[in-house]
Amino acid sequence: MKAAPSKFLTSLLSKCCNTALWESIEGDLAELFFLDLKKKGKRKAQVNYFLNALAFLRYHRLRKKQNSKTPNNMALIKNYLKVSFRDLKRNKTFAAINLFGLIAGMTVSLLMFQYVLFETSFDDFNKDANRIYRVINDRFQNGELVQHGAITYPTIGPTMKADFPEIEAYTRMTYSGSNFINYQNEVFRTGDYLIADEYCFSIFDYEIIKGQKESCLDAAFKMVLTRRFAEKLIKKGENVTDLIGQPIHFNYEKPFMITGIMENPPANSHLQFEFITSYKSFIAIAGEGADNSWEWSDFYHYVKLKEGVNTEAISSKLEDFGKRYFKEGEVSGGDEKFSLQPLNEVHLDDSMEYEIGVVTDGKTVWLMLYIAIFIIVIAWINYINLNTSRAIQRAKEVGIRKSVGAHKSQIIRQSFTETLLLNFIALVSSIGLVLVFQPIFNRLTGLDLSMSIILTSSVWGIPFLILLIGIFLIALALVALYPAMLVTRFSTQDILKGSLSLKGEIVWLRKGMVVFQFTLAVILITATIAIARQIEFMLNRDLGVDVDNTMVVYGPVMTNWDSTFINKIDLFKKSLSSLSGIERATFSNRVPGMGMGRIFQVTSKADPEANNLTSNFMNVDHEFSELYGLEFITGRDFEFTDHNIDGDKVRNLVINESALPLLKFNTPESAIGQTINFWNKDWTIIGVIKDFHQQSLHKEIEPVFLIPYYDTGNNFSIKFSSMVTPALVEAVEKRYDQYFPGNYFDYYFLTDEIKGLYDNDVRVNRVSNVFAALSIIIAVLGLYGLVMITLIRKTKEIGIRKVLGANMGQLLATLGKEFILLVFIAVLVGAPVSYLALMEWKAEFAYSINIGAGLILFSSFLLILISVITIGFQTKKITGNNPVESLRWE
Amino acid sequence: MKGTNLGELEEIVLLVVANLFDNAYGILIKQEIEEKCNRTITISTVHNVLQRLNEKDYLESRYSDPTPERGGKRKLLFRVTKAGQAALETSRSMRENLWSGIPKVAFDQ
Repeated sequence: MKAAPSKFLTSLLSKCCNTALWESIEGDLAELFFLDLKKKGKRKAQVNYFLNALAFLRYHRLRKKQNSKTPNNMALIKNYLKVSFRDLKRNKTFAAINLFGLIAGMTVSLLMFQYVLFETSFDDFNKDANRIYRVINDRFQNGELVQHGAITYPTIGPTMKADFPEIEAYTRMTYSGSNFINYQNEVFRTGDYLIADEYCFSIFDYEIIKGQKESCLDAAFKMVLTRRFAEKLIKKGENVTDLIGQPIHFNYEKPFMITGIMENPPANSHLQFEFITSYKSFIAIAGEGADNSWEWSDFYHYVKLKEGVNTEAISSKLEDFGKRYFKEGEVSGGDEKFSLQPLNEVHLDDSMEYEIGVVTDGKTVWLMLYIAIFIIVIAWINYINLNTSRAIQRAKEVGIRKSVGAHKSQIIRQSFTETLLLNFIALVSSIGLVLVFQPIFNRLTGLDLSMSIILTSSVWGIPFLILLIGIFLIALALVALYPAMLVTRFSTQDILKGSLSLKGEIVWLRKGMVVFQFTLAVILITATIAIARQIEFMLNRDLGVDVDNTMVVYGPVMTNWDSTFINKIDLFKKSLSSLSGIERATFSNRVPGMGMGRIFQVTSKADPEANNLTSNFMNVDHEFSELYGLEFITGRDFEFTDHNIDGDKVRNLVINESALPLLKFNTPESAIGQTINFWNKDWTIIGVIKDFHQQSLHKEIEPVFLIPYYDTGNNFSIKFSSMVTPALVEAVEKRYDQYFPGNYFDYYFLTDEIKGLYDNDVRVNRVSNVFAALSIIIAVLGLYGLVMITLIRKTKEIGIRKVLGANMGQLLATLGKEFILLVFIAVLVGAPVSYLALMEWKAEFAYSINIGAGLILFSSFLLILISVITIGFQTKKITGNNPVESLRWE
Repeated sequence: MKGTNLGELEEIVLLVVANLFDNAYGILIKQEIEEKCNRTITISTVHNVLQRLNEKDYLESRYSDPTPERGGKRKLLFRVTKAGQAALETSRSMRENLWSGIPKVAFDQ
């Protein structure tokens, strides 16, 4: 048996052990190994060798001594710190440039980390989050995608569960927007709420305060309240849990029983709601279709896969699933494709139509993070550049240190101390600044963020804080290493002789980094201006619909539908328009800015081939077009007689321009009087209106049908002739209460709501303004510092040039051209990159400003201008000196 | 250097080195302690104690000739110095002194 102690371990240990004792240690270990080998066999011997070897490291006596016999590191560190501080004090400009950049970069990064951590933490509170998926549904007609939605049919969940053994559980739900309830004879307006089945709590880990997780939603007319909604209902001295067993009345004869109280959904839950009513009640009210329809798609499904299930395998099976049940359009009018969206991707994907949860544009989230990191990188580049440039000035110090016996590692340590000191000061200051700016930042993002998210989050299973410190230290090591290595490379003789110059490689690196900084600056300026202009465009564009001075009042949902309903609405509207200051009122299920419902099985009689078409629809009354200023191309508007209390008798409709090609009409005129079919009956087109923007400019204009249906859930829009006064609102409320007793009067103004559609864009714009400004300031400050160092070195040259008669302009041209050239190169690199980025970003908007080359030219010019001013300013300062002074300069 | 009194393990090692006169080195000391004192001890601990005693000048050391069973490495051999001997004797007399002072009744059954 040939066995020997592990060579690797031995050599490792030899590096750690006291050199004088090493031979005896190595010998003893070897002897023990061979003894073990004889007695206990190879494996055991090796294990023992390892343990024995390791045990030697316990004793400091047996370890290698540090490089000096009497270690006096403290004194040296003190000296490093002292010298570092002196250097900072002596070169206030550089200290200021570096600190400003680092503090700004770190502050912005810390805030952005909070934001990104929060946005990426959505739905993590569910302990099986990585196995939970949402079923999403793409709908195709004639090979074209007509809907990419989060909604689907109520049968999907149960059928999938039966068909796929991989699915452990599912839950089926839908939601309702604001509604009104009556609790103990008081009417309350609710926020959004969920209608979910009894499996809801086995998929989502919401915390239940009181009630049975399994049974609180398992029958009709049960409901679970969140703490925040329960707190609205309780009287003084009551506990939220006292509500269990109490009845709540909706606009339905049977009351709902409160069977559970839960904590509010966590802020990072994509589902936000005030309460959950049981799905079985929805079936009881809306009919069996809510349980077994293959055509009614207003439902959301979440499935939990069994552990270890391969999602790709199930995805391919889903394709067959769609074909099997929907027979390529025969069932629902569409070719249905299903896929699974991982739960933790739901929040960061805002591409889904008919979204149930809180979603945001994931790209924006990551972009913010990248930009924050760019800023700190720009600041670190400044540090490296300024330090390498000053290396020559500080070389004397290094030369002296070396000649009195400093070791190379000590020189490097000095350099590291300086970097650490500066970054540490910056870090402490930026933590202070974060605390100061936190409220402003929270207002900007509309989130409740704090430093605690940085302390408590973890990424890839590692605490984020540790990750952050690790990355920070690595970055610092890189930042500190380069100037340090550079300094040690100088030969002591050269330094002390003063015949030192930077080598080409260093100069190139420095130039490269300047170019990099300014490239980022060009991109950021372009992006900022583009975003700002796009937002201005969106806020001011003529939407084709007049939303000024319009108030929206929630409909009388507590009033029952009966034969007098339409008349009652009409009388109410008439009584409003009789008030001075009110022009008119309308009653519709959508107002501008809202999404619309879709009809999937439209058939046009104009072309027998044209069936299974998809259009949006809105239920409106005969004053809708008038109030919102929709223009008729041809045909007529609705009249009062187009409405009917019997829905079956409602047969007329108005379409928009975009619906013409869909229905295969060549001209608007040819559509008038034509019949189309959907919802199992024929409809006659009586008018065609011009296209208008029902939704935000992120979205394309789609075909729209206006249908003269009434419903208790419709809302009133009231148009004022000028500004709204509180007295007018009060007058409206009085009439509302008079016509619709037992309802809750609530309203909002449409212009605010429309602006709200662009909240996210406005927010991104504000943040990008700050980012762009910071990055430019930091980059320009770096340039300023660099020019300053260069010019100081050239003081003599400047003096000589002046003596020989050079004027200011010539000096500027000669001395500044090197730097201007760098900025030009940066612009050349940055411009195409910005252009591509801009085109990509523009694709996000269906309607965008016409931007491109001009804007990029402008931002490039702006940056060059700023740089020229900076360089000019600095040159002027130095060249303004008396040449006698400069020539005396050493 | 800290106090000159001997720790328990130090005393044992010192005595074992004296026992093994001129042959005392790491492994042998370890085996001797394991055998005579009926306790286990790791080789690193032996080295550590030897080093501590060396620093206190109770031991002196020299290298032997290379030996094949140790992969050709030399042994570091230890011998007790005069100071070591004195320390052992002090320790012993101190113990005896204390033993003799114990009244008979104290240990009666």
